[in-house]
Amino acid sequence: MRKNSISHKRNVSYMPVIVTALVLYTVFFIVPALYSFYFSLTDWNGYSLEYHFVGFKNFVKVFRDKDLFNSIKFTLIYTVVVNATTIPCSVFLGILLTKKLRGVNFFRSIFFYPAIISMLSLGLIFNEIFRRMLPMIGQTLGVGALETSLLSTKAGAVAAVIILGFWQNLSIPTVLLIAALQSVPGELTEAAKIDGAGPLARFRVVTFPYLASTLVICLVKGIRDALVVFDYIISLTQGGPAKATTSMGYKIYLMGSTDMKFSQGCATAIVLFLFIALASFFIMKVVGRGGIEQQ
Amino acid sequence: MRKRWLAIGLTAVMMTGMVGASAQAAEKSTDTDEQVTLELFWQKSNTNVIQEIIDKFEAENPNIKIELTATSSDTGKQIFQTRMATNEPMDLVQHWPSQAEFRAMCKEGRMVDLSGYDWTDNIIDTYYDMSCVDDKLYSVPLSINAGVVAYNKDIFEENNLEVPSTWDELIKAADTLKAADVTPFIFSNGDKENCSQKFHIMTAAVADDKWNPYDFYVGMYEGSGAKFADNDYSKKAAERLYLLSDEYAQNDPMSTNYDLSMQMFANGEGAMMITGTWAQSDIEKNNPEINMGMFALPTDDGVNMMISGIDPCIAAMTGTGKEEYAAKFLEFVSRTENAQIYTDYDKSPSPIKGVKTENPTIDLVLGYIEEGKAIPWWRDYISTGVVSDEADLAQAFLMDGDMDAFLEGEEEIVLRQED
Repeated sequence: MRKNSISHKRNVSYMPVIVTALVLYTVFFIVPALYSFYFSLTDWNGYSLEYHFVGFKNFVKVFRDKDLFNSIKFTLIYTVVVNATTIPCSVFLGILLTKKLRGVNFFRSIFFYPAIISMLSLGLIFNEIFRRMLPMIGQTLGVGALETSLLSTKAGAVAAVIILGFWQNLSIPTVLLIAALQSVPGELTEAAKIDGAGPLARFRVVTFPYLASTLVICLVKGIRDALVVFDYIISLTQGGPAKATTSMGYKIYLMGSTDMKFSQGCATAIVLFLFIALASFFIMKVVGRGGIEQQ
Repeated sequence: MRKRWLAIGLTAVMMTGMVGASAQAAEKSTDTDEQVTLELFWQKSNTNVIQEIIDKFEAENPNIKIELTATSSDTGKQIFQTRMATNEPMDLVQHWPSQAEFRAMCKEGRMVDLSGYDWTDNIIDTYYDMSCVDDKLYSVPLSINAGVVAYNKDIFEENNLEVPSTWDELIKAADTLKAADVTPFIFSNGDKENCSQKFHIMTAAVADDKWNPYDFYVGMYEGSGAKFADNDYSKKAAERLYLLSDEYAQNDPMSTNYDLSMQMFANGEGAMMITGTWAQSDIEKNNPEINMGMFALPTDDGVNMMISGIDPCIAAMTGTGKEEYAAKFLEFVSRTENAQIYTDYDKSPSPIKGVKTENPTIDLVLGYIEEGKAIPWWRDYISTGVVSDEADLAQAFLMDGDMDAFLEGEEEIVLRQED
């Protein structure tokens, strides 16, 4: 009884904080989201004062659009490859960076560095690297493979976007995993060692359960970020060459800004949203199972 | 993506709401002493020249004050979109009459119809017509551009070349340069918009007295029933463009974007470049010392047509209650002596009668404009939602050279109707 009233009091004192966050979230996220659903049912072009209801016509168009399949394919390839490479690499890096190494803080900040540069500037920097620097190195050293820029072929451009995605997306999971790794009790690892468990077995039995919930966060964040990839595309490839790197996010942007198809852009965005929601739900259910709940 | 987008939109809506409210408050207080303040929304970076014109206007009209809202063109587009959608009109707006959103706003009656004013006679007829939307004039053009070939005069001199006056001479010059180990053309195929732009320039450069791309493509859009398959000119334009990009461009043109092509041309890494008159300032920014010129892309028997359009324009918006004052400013801008101020800074040809352009770089081009050999960028007059699709198509064509796919795609794009 006494315990209950204390926790009740505590909850009351949290209320203003939660309510503020909820109000802000509603105003800036939920209302616009509902608004965009509303516009997806109209023929609004993004500028006019007048528009008409057209029902689900825009959604029909989304699925009839012959380029949509292309965009989904690229977006999925990007999402799968980037996450399949960044997550294992960041686990590995995280383990290295929690070892007692000299200058470990220096390395931690070096690996975190890509996360603090804006994605648009990164695209511009890599533009120089892919368009100028690498071909120049190739020509000077006579390396045939480097002489033509990655960005001038369809497959190359996809690879270039993935390389950039990998480079930037490695940092945040690494930092989160370092924090999670530090929460693994030392005595458990010690005990496992004494019981004769090798490094792999120790990781699987002792460390992994402590990482599971963080991994879910990293995966959900990684997949969401990858499915809406947009900034690199606009500054690195403009969706080209010949639509090879037109992601869903970039496609939505083009519809809303250049092509005056705002309502169709909204419809595409909703399809993308459902996609992300399903993927996130699935990951939380599947990967999230079996981890140790941490506070 | 979607959330971030709408959050930005909503914030912008709120911000403009506040601006609107304060503007209304300001209006009330000025009503009493008959002072009027107009807002001029300016999207280009050359604010100093428009400020000079504003200062002169304010000196002549002490009761009208013009406040400049200057944005760079990237954010300008978003601000314009938000303010159109939320019905917060600016009194005066600088835009481009070729842009789909501007034309859509004209069609919706959001811009003041200027057709009835006498002073619009001061606009050169060709450019008056180009400025029109549904045969009505909604804006005063400030300067014009043209699709041309930029060439490096020093490289031409070193190789004893003259400015080519026919297509064969152009190819001969390119062969000479190639034999001398000089890159004849710099292409920026990494920039998809540049690819379709070059195709448009080329369609004008194959025109003759029997055919011109504006009548043909816009005619098709309007239902003339013509077909790409029956048309040798479209094919010729595509073939010639591909030939130049495939045979005479630098190594790996697909990796070059617009900015890089400007740097390369400025550094003398190539002799020629198909581009627009607007490239002059971008090239000179990279190398102020460059000795360059521009000529019109010739066809078999000389230059018949050159593609040209209006660069920026100024329009007045409806629903502000200050339309009369705004029109007064437009009249002021369209006077020869004031248009001259703009041209002296901008160096581009002027669409206003009697204005002299002092710019040796485009001497060879000015003649054709004066002779009326200019035809509009035809893509602006077909359906609005095709810009990025056409750019992708042209880029794919320059990459793989698949002529049939390109012409079929172009036909579909020209015939596409708004839905």
